[in-house]
Amino acid sequence: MSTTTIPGPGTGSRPTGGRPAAPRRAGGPEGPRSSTGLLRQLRRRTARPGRALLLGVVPVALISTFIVFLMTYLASANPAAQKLGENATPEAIARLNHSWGLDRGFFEQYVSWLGHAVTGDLGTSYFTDTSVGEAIAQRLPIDLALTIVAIVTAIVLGFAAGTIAAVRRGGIVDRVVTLVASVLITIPEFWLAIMAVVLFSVTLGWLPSGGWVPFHQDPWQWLQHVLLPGVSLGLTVAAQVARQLRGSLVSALDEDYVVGARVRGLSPRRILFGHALRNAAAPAIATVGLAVPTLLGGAVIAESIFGLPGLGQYALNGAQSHDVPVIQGVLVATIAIVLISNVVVDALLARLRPATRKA
Amino acid sequence: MDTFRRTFATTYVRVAGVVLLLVLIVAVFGGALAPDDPLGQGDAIFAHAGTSGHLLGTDYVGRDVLSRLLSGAGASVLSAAAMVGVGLLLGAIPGVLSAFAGRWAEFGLLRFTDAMMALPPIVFAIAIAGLFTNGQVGAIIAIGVLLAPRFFRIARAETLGFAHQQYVEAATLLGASRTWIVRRHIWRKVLPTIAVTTATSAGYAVLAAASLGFLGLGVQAPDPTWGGMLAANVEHLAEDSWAPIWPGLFIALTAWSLNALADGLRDGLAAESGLVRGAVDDPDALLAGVVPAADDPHARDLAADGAASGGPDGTGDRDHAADPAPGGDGRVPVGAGAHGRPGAGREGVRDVG
Amino acid sequence: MSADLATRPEAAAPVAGEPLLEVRGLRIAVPGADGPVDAVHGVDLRIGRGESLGLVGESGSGKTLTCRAVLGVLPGRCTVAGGTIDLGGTDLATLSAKGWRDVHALRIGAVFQDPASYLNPSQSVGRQLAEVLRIKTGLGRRAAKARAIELLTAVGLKRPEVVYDQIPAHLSGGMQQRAMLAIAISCDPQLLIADEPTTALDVKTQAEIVALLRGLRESIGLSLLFVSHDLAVVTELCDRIAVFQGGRIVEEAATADLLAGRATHPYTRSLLRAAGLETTVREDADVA
Repeated sequence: MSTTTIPGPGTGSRPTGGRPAAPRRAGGPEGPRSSTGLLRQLRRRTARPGRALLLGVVPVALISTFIVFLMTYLASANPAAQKLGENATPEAIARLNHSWGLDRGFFEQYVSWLGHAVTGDLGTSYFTDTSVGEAIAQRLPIDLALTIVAIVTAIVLGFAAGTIAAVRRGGIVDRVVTLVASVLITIPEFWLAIMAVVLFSVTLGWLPSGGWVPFHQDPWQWLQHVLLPGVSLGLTVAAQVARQLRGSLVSALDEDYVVGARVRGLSPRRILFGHALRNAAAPAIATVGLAVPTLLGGAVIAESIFGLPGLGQYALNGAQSHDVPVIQGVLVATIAIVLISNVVVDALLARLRPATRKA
Repeated sequence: MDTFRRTFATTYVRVAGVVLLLVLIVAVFGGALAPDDPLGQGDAIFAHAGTSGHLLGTDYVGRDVLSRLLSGAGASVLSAAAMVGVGLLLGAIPGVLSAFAGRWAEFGLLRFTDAMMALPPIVFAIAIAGLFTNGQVGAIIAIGVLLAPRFFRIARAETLGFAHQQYVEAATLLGASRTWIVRRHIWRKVLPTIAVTTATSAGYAVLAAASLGFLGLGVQAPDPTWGGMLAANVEHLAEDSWAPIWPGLFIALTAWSLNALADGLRDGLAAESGLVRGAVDDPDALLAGVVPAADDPHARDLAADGAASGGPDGTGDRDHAADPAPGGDGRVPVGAGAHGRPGAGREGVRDVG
Repeated sequence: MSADLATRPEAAAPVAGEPLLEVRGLRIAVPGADGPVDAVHGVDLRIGRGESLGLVGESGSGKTLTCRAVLGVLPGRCTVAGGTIDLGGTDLATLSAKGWRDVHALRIGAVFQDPASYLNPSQSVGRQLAEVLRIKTGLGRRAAKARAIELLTAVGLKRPEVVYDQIPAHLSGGMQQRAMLAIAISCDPQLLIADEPTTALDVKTQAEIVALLRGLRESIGLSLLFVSHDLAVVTELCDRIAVFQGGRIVEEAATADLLAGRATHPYTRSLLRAAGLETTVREDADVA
């Protein structure tokens, strides 16, 4: 009569014979999807945040920064000669190269660069002799603000539209959302930004068509300036999120546990927000996470439309003058943002699903 | 040809096919189709559409907008095609081969593709285009390289799925060499899925090419590109507010036709896998033990692809217990259609073992 | 079989006293190629207070649809096409969504074949149990948890505090079904509907769950509507048995009668024979 098994990961295997129509859940965390071997071990380990950092983020950070360094190393064509001009003596060039550390071997340069980058020291621009780290720190808030406003837009609009479309499946709202989303996905986000300027600044005059006011100077002005570029940037992702959420929520609402919740007497609202939406949110949140690199690129373009003194202009100028530390610095900063957002998204997803937290 | 027929089963996809065909014709013969000299400046500046003999009006120095759009199509569309080509080459072939690689190589390759995916494409392209002497080639390579991980993951996942199927294992037992297996069996199975990824990636590449054109990377003024025309329009928004409509329309139509084609392909292949492959798969599944255990990257690849195209499941690898079927908008990626069919077998396997 | 059955005389179909649940002429339509088609053709059922009724029949015979209709959760586009489902004066067949909220959990509890899929896979069972308690009985957070632990203990779960924090996938099938039962009885319903609750379980666990259900009936006076295709299990648990075939009840009789070989319908007898329960075949029943 007793059930002696002690609950825990090991007892996750269920007896056989569940209805074949509902197979996906039967696996649990160690279900049929995972293969044997390294990857499976890895995934089990990455259930713990510390290990996830060590095995996921750190190698990725190392590899991606190595790609950046290797690429810029290969492409850089004697910047000292370029800087000193045609009349420079070979000695002067050698001296400058030495002061930049360019006379060292590739790996020595790489390790030294990486060591400095980890501490936030991104070096000095070859041509303007200013600190790259400081310049980025000044400009980054602009792109971060645009990206964050875009993400908020994507989440708010995407979740609202996707949820309504899924709940009123087949209704007018559903059709409109589906249509608008499929149109938005094929439109370049910077074109949306341009049309937003045409509509809201040039035609209606509601919002400024460009310029920037730092948040700490005047939050209200800041919001006015960040709204157009940020929201128009986020619309495409909002469309992706809406489509994703609509799909996963429609399937979630068809799941048996929704019937189970109804039989337990829970209200439709509670079933939707307390159960189905929570379970369906993961793919949509992951979509937002995957969109961060694209959004950063979009922010760079939005800068040039709205005349914002951000990272993109800095990168464009640096690239045009072959200013290697500037290019390296911008890439490292954006990679850092992408990796941080990955960690945040992974943590969110783990919270949504206790299985990974407890495994 | 069945695949072709199924792909173009709906009017939606047929329209997309026609649009894409038109875009390709314009891209190849654009200059010859242009009614006017795309660089020839005229007296009528900011002419409205349909006035003074200019169907879509003129720009800030009186150049014919339609002619510039048509002759700019080549640079815009063909550079996108080149990006996809680079991605395909660098991604798909290593992806198929990686399925046969050892564990550590596998681990390294996967981290490497993760690292590539952490690079923001536009920023990366700015860097490369600036550093390399030829900006356009640099930009194409940069975007192409960053498209490669998608192809890599899809190709690898599909290969992993098929490589463990019985007939391939049988071929191995019979002493077939790896190259022979890859040539004989796997390419034929993997190619359809790669075709879907190619179409979605091409849609993305069109947008990326337009972005780079907008930033002035690649083709230099006064030669027209769609993105470059938009950049010029932005400088004259006050004089001609609605000019950005036309380049935007061309970009969006191209991207839409490619996405719609990808959807059609996906649906067509899903239908096919239900009809044809199903017959092959099920006995395999029932025999247990050798059923493809598509691991972590598999789901994730489809996810990565899907999320990028705004489509299916974004969290395959997160393995969300409550995840409803992959397929955000009801479209099941082919991989899932082939060996992720509910109840097809992995459950059975568990029940037995 | 057991003492439980032996104490009941041959009191057959008519139930003494006022029935708790009375289903009359229930017809259920399912979507077909050319519009809705009836899948259940006029079913009559009565369950008295404290009584247990078993529904048996092969899959597709309408027994699960019938109990889904009683629960108000018919799948897909299936609808109640006719008849009444009377639960202590309330007609469930025409009940509004709001009305159902006073019936579900409070008056009818339910367990299903695949307990894991009827629980939210990403929330701990304790949380889902406490949620019902808080919403339906108005208990506070802490009181709900204490009551939840009590209920988990009552359904025979060892270490209920540990089970409380587990998500369904981390419990064995038997434990999941127990947790499901704890939720089903959490608000003291009069009627428990059990739709093939033991089918997915191994034989030993199956026996444990049946024993648990019988214990619950005795301890809290629960009426039971028990659906199964396994006649042996049904005879152990139910006072009366209704045999479904092709969307109709072909025979309804007291369990003791059936076991005593007084089954009249050939299908019932074939079921009994298949389950190895038809010990004494009375030839005259055939003639009658």
